[in-house]
Amino acid sequence: MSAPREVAVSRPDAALPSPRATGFARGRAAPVGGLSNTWLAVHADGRVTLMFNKLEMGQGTATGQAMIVAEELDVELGAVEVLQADHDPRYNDPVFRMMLTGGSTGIANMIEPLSHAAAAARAMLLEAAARRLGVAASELATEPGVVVHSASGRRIPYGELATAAATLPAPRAVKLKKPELYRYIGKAVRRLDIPPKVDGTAIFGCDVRLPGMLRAALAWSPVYGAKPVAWDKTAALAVPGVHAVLETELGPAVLAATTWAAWRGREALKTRWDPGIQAGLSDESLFAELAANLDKPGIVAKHAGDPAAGAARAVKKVEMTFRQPFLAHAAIEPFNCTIHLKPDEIEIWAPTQYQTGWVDEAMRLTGLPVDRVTLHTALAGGAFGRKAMLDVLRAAVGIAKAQGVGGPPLQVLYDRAEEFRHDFLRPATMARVEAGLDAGGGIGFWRQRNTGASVLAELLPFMLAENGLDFTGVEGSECQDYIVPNLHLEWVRHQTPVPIGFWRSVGHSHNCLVRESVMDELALLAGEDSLEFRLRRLKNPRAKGVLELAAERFGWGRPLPAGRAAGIAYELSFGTYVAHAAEVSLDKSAGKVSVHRVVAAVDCGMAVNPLAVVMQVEGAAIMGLSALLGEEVAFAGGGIATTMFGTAYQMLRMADSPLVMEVHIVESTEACGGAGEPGLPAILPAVTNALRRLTGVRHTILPLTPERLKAVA
Amino acid sequence: MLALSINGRRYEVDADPATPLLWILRDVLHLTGTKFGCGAGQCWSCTVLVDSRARPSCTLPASGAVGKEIVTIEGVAEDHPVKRAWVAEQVPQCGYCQPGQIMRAVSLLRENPAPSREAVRKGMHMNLCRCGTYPRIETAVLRAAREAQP
Repeated sequence: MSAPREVAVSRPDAALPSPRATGFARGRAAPVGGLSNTWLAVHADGRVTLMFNKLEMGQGTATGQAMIVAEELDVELGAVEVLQADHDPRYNDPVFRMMLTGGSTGIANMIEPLSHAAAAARAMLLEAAARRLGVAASELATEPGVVVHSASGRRIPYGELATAAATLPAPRAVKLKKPELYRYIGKAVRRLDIPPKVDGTAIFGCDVRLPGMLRAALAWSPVYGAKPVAWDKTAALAVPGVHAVLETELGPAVLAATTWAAWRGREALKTRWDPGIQAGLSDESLFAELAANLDKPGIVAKHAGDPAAGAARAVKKVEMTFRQPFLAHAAIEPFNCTIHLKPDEIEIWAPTQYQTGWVDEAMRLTGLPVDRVTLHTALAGGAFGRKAMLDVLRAAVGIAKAQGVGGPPLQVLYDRAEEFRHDFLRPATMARVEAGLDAGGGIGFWRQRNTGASVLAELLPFMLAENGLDFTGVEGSECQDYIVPNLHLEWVRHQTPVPIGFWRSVGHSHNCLVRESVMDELALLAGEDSLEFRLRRLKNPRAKGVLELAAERFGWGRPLPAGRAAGIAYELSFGTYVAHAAEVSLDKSAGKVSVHRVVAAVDCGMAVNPLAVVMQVEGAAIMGLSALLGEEVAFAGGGIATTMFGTAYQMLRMADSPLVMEVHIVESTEACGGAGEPGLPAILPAVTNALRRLTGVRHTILPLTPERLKAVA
Repeated sequence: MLALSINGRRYEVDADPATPLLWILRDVLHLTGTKFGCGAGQCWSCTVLVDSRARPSCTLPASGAVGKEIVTIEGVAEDHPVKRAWVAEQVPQCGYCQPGQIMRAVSLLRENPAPSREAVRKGMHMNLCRCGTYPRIETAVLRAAREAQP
């Protein structure tokens, strides 16, 4: 076995110091003065500023973007100041053609435009210096922040050249630095957003404070589609701090001096609701619908070879059915926004992943033109896909319109029950797979039917295929890089009023468990080791590489303490290959799984800031474990019954997190893949595969609650 | 009027005494470093020190804070070993729960200046982190304990 070379990641305390802290909502246009283009400016005083077009929700993208600019412009990293760009189409992500933070693309989509913008600025500074010195630009070179003419020893700081450079035409083509000359890209750099998050000064969406601002709380339907019937306005107005009770299209709303008073006022309304659109909706009804879907024909997502003939020829077969729950995003910061609706404009502050969608929706709701809508992006206290949605904006604008134009600014912050009840959930899914080995030990056939609600339909319906296929329902189920010549894959859409959204790693979050569980069962049928089985049937060297690296660092095959077993799994998602190996034990009487050790290997192509990649994969693995072991949204009476952390929605806590968590990065010059999401999917099957080897039991129903573990142990 | 002592400063606050301390901090005094997470003492994102003991401020009525010394994230010195360790170990991701984590760590180390790994994992158990920074939190608390030793 020969694992690929690994990137050496310095310990965080030895990492390079970060660029300067991000500013908050510093205006619509690029910085003025000196040399500037869409993304960056070199000011006459030597400062360099970068307009950051993404939401910082914990991924460290701002630091990575600043590293790219420092690299190609050739300045010290500490000289780059990052400004949060307000909404403006000029800051659209060039691939999405929108301002949108999602799909683990904050570096992958931006490295090219930022590299070129920085390299173009450097070329213009060189040309300005050449004209001033009367030499050819080819005689000049740069050192960080300075143009150097080595023949004469003359040195001109960038700031002195910026104004003259700004008058020159931008070069049509630029030459980018060779990777072997990189000073920053590929080195561990401390994140610029961390110091303000440690000292308490970081401004998250819910921390925005405007003069005269009131807090607003909307009484929403507690179940899907219900209309308010009656409410007690007098009781709400009697709550200290409550200013007004308003009637909006969505329900009654309370304005108050503090968030607490607004929530208490909303409680005092004691709003009564009609039964809503599906009063019988419950856990049982939802899973019965999914189970019924498994017996219906679906939309064909992939068909290769002759699966029926493959099945007829198969010498060993397995058939398995999986069931995974609805999941909440459960960011600790509930969704929120702050708005000021004026007679002819609206100003919005929000921790949104989807600035373009928010501005379009604000225009639709207010009738204002685009240039009268200002959107400032604040830090998000966790997002995971939730904060791409538009619901809190609709609530806030509805309240502001009921208040009347010209009123004070308003802030809407969901309480925890509201955050759960109005979440756009990771869909619950079921999947049935039949697969088998041919006489030569190859995967002779694979037939799979997946069912779940559509993720794309709510926010990005234009991404649905013409035949109605939502690719997120099957992503990962197409068997990725495994050699499976005869394959049939279908998807049945689950029609449900439950709102559905993007949840970290989207379809991979459930489809990886299915595929990698079946692979492990096939390995058992073949009498082969989990790792060897995969390596022999994978064709992609990068897929094999992460498995080999994870296995080597884990010590795959080495004896483990009594009562423990190891599992391994892999996933390709968002352009990045990740393998997880896990060491687990089970306390049968308590029905409790302990995950002692997790070793991950990541091939995300070129890792711009390997420290940020490591952090994302650590966190994603823990979020995946949390989903595996405890998370499940419950329904009753036509809506969501889960309204609180703790016993109701069980998220992993520190004492149950792995004692050892290692992340290794494959050295690579391939194109950048994502980092935020790909570390999640494979941890789930890595753990269930280990449990299978430990106990002989294959877990196909999530989460692994004590009841389920005790029932089968 | 409620007389509160926060980060060594006295404040006279005109508010309903039943208002949780969290909302006095955030919405009246604009000390927004202390975060709301659940309102039920389940996530401890709103942790402050009350007479040196960590507790969630979302379930503490402001009247119950009268006569006590309250310390928030803004009142912990920049060079406090816990804050330094949090930067050195690059703990935060989204960062939202971290003020609560830091306040809990400060009180934990006051109660037990040289905790074992197990003591850290148990002591920090109530503080939820959705980004999954637990391994780094553990390392940072142990580092802070080490570096605070004379």
